[in-house]
Amino acid sequence: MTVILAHAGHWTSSLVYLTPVLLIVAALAVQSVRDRRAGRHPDQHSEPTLDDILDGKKRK
Amino acid sequence: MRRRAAAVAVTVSGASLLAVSTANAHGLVGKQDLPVPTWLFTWAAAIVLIVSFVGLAMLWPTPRLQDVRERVVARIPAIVPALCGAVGVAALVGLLYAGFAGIQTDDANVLPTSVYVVFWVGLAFASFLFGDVFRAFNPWLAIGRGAGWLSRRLAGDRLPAPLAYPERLGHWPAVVGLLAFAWLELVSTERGDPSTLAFLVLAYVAVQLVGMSLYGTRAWADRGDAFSVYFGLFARISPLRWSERKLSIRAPLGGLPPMDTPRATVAFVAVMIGSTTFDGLTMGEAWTDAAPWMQDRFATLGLDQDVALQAAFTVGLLASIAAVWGLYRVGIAGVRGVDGRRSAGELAELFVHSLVPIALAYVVAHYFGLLSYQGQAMAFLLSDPLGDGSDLLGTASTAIDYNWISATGIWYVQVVALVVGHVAGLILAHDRAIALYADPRQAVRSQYWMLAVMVGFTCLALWLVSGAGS
Repeated sequence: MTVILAHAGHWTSSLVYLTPVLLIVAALAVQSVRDRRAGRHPDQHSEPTLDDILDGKKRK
Repeated sequence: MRRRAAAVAVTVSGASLLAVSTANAHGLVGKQDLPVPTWLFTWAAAIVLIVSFVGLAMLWPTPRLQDVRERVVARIPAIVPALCGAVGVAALVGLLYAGFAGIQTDDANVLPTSVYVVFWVGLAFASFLFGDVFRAFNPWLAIGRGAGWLSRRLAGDRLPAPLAYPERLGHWPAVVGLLAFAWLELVSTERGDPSTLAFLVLAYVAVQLVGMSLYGTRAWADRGDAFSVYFGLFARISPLRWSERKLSIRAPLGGLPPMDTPRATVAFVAVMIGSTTFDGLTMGEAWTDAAPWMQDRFATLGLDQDVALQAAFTVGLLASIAAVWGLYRVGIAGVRGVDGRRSAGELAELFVHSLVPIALAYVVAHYFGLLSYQGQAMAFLLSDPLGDGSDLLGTASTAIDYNWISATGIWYVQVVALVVGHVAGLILAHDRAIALYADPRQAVRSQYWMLAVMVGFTCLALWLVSGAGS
C-alpha cells in the first residue's frame, strides 16, 4: 500500500469528479433521516402485484 | 510484458491525439483542447441528469415503454437470412485461415483487428444503429442451423428433440463467455497473437455448436452465446427490429422493457460495464500505482513476473465488475426502501434493462476513438490479410487518417454519449417504476438512489475517459 499512498497527491485531485455523487448522496441521506423522523413507511402505498405488472395491468 | 504499448501520441494540426499502433489496442485517452476543465463536464452532466430526473417526475406520469407498438415496414425474402449466414461463415473461415497461416504479428495480420475492433466494437455500434445484425451474420448460428437442417433431412423423425434449456443455467454460460473474452482482451499477454486468437475462436465456436446441439439453436443463442446476448441487448435500443423475415420499427429503447431476464442477467450486464470500466482504469495512474504492488504480492507466492502481473490484472478486472454490481445494488436497495414486498434480487431483475444504455454509453465513450482510427486499418488489412505483401483490393498502401476527427471532437462525442446513455437509463428506470407502483410519488421516490447510481456511473466514466487519472 506504500506505493499507492506515495502517489496519493496525483490521484486525489481526481476526487473533484466525485463531488456531484457526494452531494446527491448527502441530500438523499438527509432526506431519508427526515422521512424516518416523519414516520413514513415503505409499504404505506397500495401497489399492484408482480403478476399484475407482468400481465400488463398498469394501474389499479 | 506488453502493456498499453498501443497508445502513441500523434500531433496533428496543432492538436494532440492519441492513436493506436497495434490491433489489440484498448480505449483511448486523448489530449483535448477544451475551454473548461474536464471535471466541469462531470458537474454539468450531473446537473443534466438531475434536471432530467425532475422533468421525468413532472412530465412522464404514465408508462410509455413497457409495451411499445411495432410497425412492419418491410418483408425480407427467405434467401436473405441464408445469404447473410453464408457471408458470416465465409468471413469466419477466411479469418481463421489468416490467423493460422498469416504473419504472426498483431498489426499486420487481419485477425486481431477484425476481432477486437470490427467485431467487438464495430458490431456494438452497428447493433444499436441497425438492430440485431449479428444474429443475421452469426457464423456459428448459421452452422448450427445448417447442421440442424441437414440432420432433419437425413434422419427425419428419428432425430431427437433438443433438451429443454435448464432455467438454472440462465445467462451463466454467456457470463462465462463474456468474462473469458474480457480476460483475453484486457489481461492475457497472448491477446494479440494471431494463431492463439484463431485457436480460441475455434474453441469458442466448438462450445457454441455443442450448446446448440444440446438445447437447440434458438434457445442457446438467446441465453448461452455470450456475443448473441451482448449484441442482442444493444440491438434492443435500436428502433429497428429484424424478426421472422420482417423488418419492424418501434420507439427507440422500446425493445428493452419487454426483455427476458433469466438468471444471471444482472451479472452479465455487470460484466459488460465492469470490463469496460477496468479497461479505462488501467490507463490511469491509480492503477499503474496499484498493479506493481499487487504484482509483487503475487510474485512472493512464487509466480513469475508475467503470471503475477496477469494475476493482478485479473483481480482488477473482477474487482471492477464487482464494483459495478455493488453500485447497482445500492440503487436497488434504494428502490427496496419504498418497496418492501419484493426481494432485492427480484427488483434487480426488474430494473436491469435500465443499465443497457449505460453499457452502450461506456462502449461508445471508451472505444469511439479506437474505432475511428484503428477501424480504418481494415482497408489495408483486407487487401493484405496474411501480411505477406499481397494487394488483393489495391488498398494495401493506404494509411490511417488521424485528421478526420480531433481528440477534442472525440471528447465531445464521449460526453454526449455518456449523458444521453445515462438519461436513457433514467427514462427506462422511471418508466418501469411508474408501471410498478400505483402512486406516482412512490415511483419517483423509488428512483432517488437510482439517480445517485446513474450520476455515479456518469462521473466514473467521464473520469476514466478524461484521462484524469493518467
